Amino acid sequence: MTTGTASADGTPLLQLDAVEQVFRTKKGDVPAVRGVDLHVNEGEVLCLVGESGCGKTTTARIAAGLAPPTGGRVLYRGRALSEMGSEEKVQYRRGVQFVHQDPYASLNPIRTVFATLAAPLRKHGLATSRKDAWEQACRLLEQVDLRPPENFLSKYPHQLSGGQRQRVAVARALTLKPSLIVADEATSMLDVSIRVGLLKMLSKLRTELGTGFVFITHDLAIARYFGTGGRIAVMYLGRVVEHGLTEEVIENPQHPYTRALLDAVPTMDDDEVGAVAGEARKLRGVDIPSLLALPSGCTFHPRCPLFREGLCDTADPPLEPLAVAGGADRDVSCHVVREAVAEAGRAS
Amino acid sequence: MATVVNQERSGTGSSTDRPVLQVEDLRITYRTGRSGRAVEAVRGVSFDLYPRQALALVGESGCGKSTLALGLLRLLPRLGGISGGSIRYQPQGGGDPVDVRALEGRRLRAWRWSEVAMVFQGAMNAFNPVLRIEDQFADTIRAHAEGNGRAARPSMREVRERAAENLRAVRLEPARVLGSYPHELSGGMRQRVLIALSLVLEPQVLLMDEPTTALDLLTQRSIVDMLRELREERGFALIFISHDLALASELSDRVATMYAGRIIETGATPEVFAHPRHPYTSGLMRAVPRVRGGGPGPVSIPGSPPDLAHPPAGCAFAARCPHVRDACHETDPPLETVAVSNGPELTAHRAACLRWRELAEEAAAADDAEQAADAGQTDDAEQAELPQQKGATE
Amino acid sequence: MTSALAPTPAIQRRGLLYRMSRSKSGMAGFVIVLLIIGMTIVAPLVMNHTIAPDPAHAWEGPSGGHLLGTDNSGRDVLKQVLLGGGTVIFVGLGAAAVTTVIAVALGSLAAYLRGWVDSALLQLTDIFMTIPQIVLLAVLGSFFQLTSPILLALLLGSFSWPVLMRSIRAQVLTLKEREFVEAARSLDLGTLRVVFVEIVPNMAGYILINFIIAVTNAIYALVGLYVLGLAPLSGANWGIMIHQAWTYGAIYIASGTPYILAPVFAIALVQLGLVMLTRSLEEVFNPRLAEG
Repeated sequence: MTTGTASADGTPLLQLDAVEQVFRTKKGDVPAVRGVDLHVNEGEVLCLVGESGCGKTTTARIAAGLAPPTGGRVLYRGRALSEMGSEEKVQYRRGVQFVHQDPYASLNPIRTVFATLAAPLRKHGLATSRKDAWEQACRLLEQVDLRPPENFLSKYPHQLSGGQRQRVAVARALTLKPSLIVADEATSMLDVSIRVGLLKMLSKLRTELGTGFVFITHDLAIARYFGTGGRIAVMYLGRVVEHGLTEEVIENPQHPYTRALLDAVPTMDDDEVGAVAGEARKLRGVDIPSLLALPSGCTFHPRCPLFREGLCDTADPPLEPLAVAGGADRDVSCHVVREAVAEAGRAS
Repeated sequence: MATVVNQERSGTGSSTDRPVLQVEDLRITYRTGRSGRAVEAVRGVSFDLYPRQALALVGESGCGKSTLALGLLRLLPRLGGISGGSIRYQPQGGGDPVDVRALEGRRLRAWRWSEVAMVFQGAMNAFNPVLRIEDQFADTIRAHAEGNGRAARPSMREVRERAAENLRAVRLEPARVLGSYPHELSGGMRQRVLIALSLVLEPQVLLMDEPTTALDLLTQRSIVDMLRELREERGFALIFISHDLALASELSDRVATMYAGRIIETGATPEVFAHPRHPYTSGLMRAVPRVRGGGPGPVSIPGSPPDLAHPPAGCAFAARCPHVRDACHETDPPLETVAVSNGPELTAHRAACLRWRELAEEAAAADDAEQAADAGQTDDAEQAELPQQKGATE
Repeated sequence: MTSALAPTPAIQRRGLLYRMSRSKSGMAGFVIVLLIIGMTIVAPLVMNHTIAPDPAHAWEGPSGGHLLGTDNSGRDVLKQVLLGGGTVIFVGLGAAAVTTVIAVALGSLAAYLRGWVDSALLQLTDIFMTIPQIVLLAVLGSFFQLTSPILLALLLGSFSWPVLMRSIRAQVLTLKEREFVEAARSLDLGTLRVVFVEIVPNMAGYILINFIIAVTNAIYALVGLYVLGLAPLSGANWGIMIHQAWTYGAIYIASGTPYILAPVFAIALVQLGLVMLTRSLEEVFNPRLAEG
């Protein structure tokens, strides 16, 4: 699998620059995303993982242009969305597509599969006639492994299974030949026996069409599987707390939150115990603080097993590169881990 | 190929006790719409649950596991009903077994919470939204105090004491929780309150249907750990329903895989997960990507479960099975003992597959071959299917 | 409410008529409405349009010759009832169509576009809602000849849309948050297409039910105009019959009772049929109601 590369001049395909999203509610302002910097290169996969309320879905929606951020910028091929003219906006719309979590809600219940696929083809002039649209729709369905496509084109969503619906939703996202697909928990509503099938199909799009992915999931095993060869960003309360190559983050997590998450994954084999055994049990608190009353300093400090008074509860740790032994670039936002690594560096 | 399984994880002395719950050939039928066509959602399920044991029912949506849970508690919706079989409950400290199907009205309600309690997926729906947590406890405790014909109505002080004790058991601060309304608590806290509430009458059996599905990973972990401790302390039997095999394996001594309304494989948890004998169980195990360790990449099971309005003649899994033979489409395989255990017959490792013997031999041969060959090499077929996974497994 | 918005799979599989036939009252309503509409179409074809006055037989009670008796000028009441439904039903349907089209178009655009379009349209509904409809029609009636049923339908329809417009707007406000709408938007399918092809057809059931309610309202409004004498009393219809019966003092004459009651019953029957029809349609589009 090719790791994504930046274009010749080093511009990422999509870049989030200090993106913020504050929702105004009756109870007060909810800072769902609090300054996130991320980028995806052409053909690359970036997994956003975290628990509910960590801001991963909001970040994904901002990246896909479904919600304008209240702060920061979104850049597509180096151009800020907010500064784009209408022509550029169309290019961005065609270039970045979103796949929703719930395949039962994301397809219009009263439109056939063909009508769903043909609409964007006709609207954007990619198909000149009904026959042309039909043929292209067939090819799209083959790309998402719905074969023979003729059997599916005249079906309504309620006549399809959950897995088939999600494939149709992916086919619809592919109509405009996007360079990037933002998928929000695209497999979490599907039965376990068919999840991997969908992931394999998406991986195939990556290799065959060079489509990049921003893949949001709460399931670390799925992030590890789908994000192989790409990068992973772990989010907590609206911030990225750890970021690096998928394999390295999963095999050798640095941030105490990532370590606890990895340890909390249930396992079938007792011998599957990794480097993080027991980390989840060390947590000092189970409940995630409310976004309405964020803890001071590092927002993880009330739960963190590494908590150091006077440091973690006063200063907000920045997300900065950390020299992990034997690893490539890793970003971690933790005072204590950073100190420990620095000390180990001095000692050796 | 039969191996002797010792019952190390099945609780203390389970083989000598009498089962607390005996389910035999249970069938549950739904009538669909006004046309009244019957669909059998549970098609002959039998199992014995022993005191202190934890049984996991695993399977995918539509396999009948939730229907079975509702049926066991006689909580089926109006259009559903038990159409056959028996459920027998053995009260604590001896006495005649109770025929659960024959319980009605007041006796049924009393049985439901004080003998067998349940925790369902959506914790919010289980609470009355306008009552404080302490009032929810009071309602439960008082309703059953009267139901049991006890003379004294427990005072609010007594209620608070008992509630506090149970809340502490689920690691909640009684002072903080008792005066709150359900909506003021987080999802994880609500689920823990619900567990405390279900245990307040000290039932013998706790039935949980996907109790952690809506919860976050770390919350799930803490609830799983807490349940283990609680079970050790209080010794109730547990029926745990989940689609998550790994979670089931962590919580249970025994596991039963369900498919199309039947148990298709059952046995001691470590044994079933180490040597799955039904292709659906092994398929499910292989369908889940692992977060740790290497091993072959995941493989999904093609197709979808049969429509139970028209169940197939032979094995219900035949249409999706990679090992299918013609005979599978004709004969519906019964649950057969596939490994001898030293416990009662119904706790043995059993599977419903015509070809289990052949497949077990193949698997054993493959295991030997794998050990002989270079470690880390994966099966050729899988490599072809999953080129990008190879990097991760090595 | 959500399941009223999205037709359930069963409807698409089995068809609307099949589902409706499962509700007895709904089917009865449907049959009543069909019969009355059929009557208003067939009656003018088989009967003489003009009923000659016969003053010699004025104010006669029911008899073999005149089943419902005669009016003040000796015309047969039954014939008048049979012939007099056409205008009422035509104007009712027409006005409801105008109302529904305006309400759906403005309501869905207001909800989808929000911003200044929404506020402007909401202001407009406020203005329209404060205008007393009957008074305005009376004023208009004195300027224009309201003899044309089409003109009447247009006038009635163009004043009664604001209430429906607001409820359509509320529906679209929730529908537009649905994921398939978001998907259509991110595919850049264009505002009009997203609104009228993706969103509005999902409210088909809701719109149909409200269309029928609009028919009943328009019929009441129209009959009201006639009874009050605000619309020109040319030709013969149920509204005019009531007005005439009233002005000629039918209630004081024993044998005049059928003259005033017959059109009242005819109108009540149409309305009853329509209301029963909406009830069964509601059950069809919202299966949860049918279960209860």
